[in-house]
Amino acid sequence: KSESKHPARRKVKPQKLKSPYIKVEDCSCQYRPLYLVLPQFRSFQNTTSNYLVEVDKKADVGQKLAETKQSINKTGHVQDGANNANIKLKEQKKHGYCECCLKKYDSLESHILSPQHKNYSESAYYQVVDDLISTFEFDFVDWSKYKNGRKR
Amino acid sequence: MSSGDTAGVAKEIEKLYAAVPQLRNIFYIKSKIGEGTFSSVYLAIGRLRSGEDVTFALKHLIPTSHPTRIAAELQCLSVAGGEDNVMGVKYCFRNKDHVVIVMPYLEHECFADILHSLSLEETKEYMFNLLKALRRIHSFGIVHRDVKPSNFLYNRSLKKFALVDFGLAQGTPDTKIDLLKVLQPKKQGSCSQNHPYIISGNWVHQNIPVLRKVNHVSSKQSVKKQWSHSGTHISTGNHGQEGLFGSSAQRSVFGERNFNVHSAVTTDNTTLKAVKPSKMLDVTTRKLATRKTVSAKSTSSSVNKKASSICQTSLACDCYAKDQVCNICLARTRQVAPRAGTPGFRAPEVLTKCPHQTTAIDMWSAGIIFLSLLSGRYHFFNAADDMNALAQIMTIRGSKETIQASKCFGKNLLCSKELPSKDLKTLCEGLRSAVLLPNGDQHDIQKQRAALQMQIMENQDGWFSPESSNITHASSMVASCVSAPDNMDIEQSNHNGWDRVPNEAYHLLDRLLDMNPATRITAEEALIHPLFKNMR
Ligand SMILES: Nc1ncnc2c1ncn2[C@@H]1O[C@H](COP(=O)(O)OP(=O)(O)O)[C@@H](O)[C@H]1O
Ligand SMILES: [Mg+2]
Ligand SMILES: [Mg+2]
Ligand SMILES: [Zn+2]
Ligand SMILES: [Zn+2]
Repeated sequence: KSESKHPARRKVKPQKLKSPYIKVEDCSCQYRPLYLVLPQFRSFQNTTSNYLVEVDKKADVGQKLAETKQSINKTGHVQDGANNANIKLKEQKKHGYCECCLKKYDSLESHILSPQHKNYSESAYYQVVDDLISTFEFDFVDWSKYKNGRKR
Repeated sequence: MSSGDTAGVAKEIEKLYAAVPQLRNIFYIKSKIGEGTFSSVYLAIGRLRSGEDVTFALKHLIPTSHPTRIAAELQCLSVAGGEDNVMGVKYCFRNKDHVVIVMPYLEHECFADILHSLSLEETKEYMFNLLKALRRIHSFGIVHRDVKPSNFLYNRSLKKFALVDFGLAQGTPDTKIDLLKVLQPKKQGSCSQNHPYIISGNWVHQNIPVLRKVNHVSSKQSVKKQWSHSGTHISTGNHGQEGLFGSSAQRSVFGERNFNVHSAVTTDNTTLKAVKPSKMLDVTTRKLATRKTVSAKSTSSSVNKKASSICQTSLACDCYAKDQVCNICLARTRQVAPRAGTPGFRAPEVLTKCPHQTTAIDMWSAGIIFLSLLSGRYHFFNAADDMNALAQIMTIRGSKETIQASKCFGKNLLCSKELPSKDLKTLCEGLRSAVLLPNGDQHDIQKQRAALQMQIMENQDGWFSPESSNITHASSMVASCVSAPDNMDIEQSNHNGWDRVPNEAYHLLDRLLDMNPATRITAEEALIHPLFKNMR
């Protein structure tokens, strides 16, 4: 640990990248290089298990699964793994990041019931949304007027 | 849909009514039509004051969306929408954190289901109409960021099209969407932390890079400097900015929608044991990624600027442009750049973390859609991470070409293998030959076709084969794998125009898939491309 606090004490031993590889560096030399050894063409198919372990790709996977699901709805027949995809989407939708509270959550349902989030949800921050809403014309029949005594 | 599903949907609809009770008085919500990570979309009927009953799409946004993001999506729809194949908005309901956007409903087909039955003429119409939508949003300074078939609705019988989903949209520096100004990129590092974002014709270039020449100083001092700077990042990044109304704080919420937190997954396949950056650095990076955002990219011009304005110093090492990495470069912070979108549709400048991104990223995505249409392969690219995605693109566009283009957007790219660029016509025609499969169960055919196309692609995957086998070989392999398709299919396919795809189509494809965003064709230019000469 102390080593990482004083990176200068580390020995600088460059490590060679094995071929085939690609390496991408920002010309500013300020950032960590991106690199990949052994590119794979069908990597998506090979990395199904990564769905569950790679936290940072959850959102992508979600979109992907959502597409799968749409396809099912349209064609009416269930494709291979569709139910699985469905469950995975549901699973991964549970946890995420709340842009309002600036924190990660493990359960969407319980997060939105938390005092911090409930407090936020009643705040004035939504004024920006309401301002836009007020520019729309309300052009619907509101049936509550009829339900409350007066008949059509 | 199974009965279990139906019950599940009924439950969800009931929950939606409970979350936004106003809806109960206005809509009959019939079914669910889409579910993504950040929303659920329902089909509903409402009566207009004119007495007409109209079908709408109700998009219920995830309650953890920031109000400014919600408002920006709404503003894109209301300002740019309703014309030129861009979805409009009818109304919006809010109850606390629950927001429901009401849009006109456009019934549409699933891209994968119709891909192989589209004629060449329909394909041209599809692209033309997509480009029209892109021209429109780009003229408003909107970068959509998530152009893909499921966000471009196509009603085949009505010949209607609609670009939807501005949930990830960002503004160009001169955007006409007020709320996207708030969503504009700010540079990585903390120099202009408290300055309002400069909106001008050019992107800010304050992120002055360290010159390579001064890079051989690796003294303890510079190490400490780097670390104290990291500390600064943490404190300025978090300091009292939960208020969300100051422009910088507001901005900080909108890092990346898909939580591009540990974005360097790219070392996964390496045999190297990379030195793990310290915990603290990790935290810093995470904060930068989620709360700060996008840095304005230094272009070659800014490289010459004085080092005095350096915001962030980085420790130098000897690995630049070499086939090596070391503890020093691996300990640097990860560059933060916009990345939201869908893998497989991401442009090379997005994959390589170029912080300066433009509307050209949408043109690339349109090119990927066109590539699917012309080749009959969907999804065309299916990489597990950004570096694999780049590797896949390189097998088709060529390594030299990729290296050269990367230079133009400030990236030095090294590739151990020289991969020749492929002729797009030959590639697409080769892949299309797999579309002609004998009759059978629709689902089986789809699977077989995908597998065959994968084989064709892998066969030409220049990464491992000593020399990439040519495509004619690959197509003959298809022929041998598949019992001869009956003549009806071939005739049908030819009738659809696929036997005479004009070269203009591949020319346009080549211009959309230009590796260099600065020279990539714009939507406006694409619409007057010779391919569309007979179209409005
Ligand atoms: N106006 C609409 N008419 C018909 N279907 C729609 C409409 N808007 C969205 N959808 C359907 O819902 C799906 C998800 O909507 P979208 O806006 O893309 O949400 P997300 O951000 O969750 O992807 C779309 O892919 C499409 O199938
Ligand atoms: Mg979408
Ligand atoms: Mg979206
Ligand atoms: Zn919250
Ligand atoms: Zn190094």
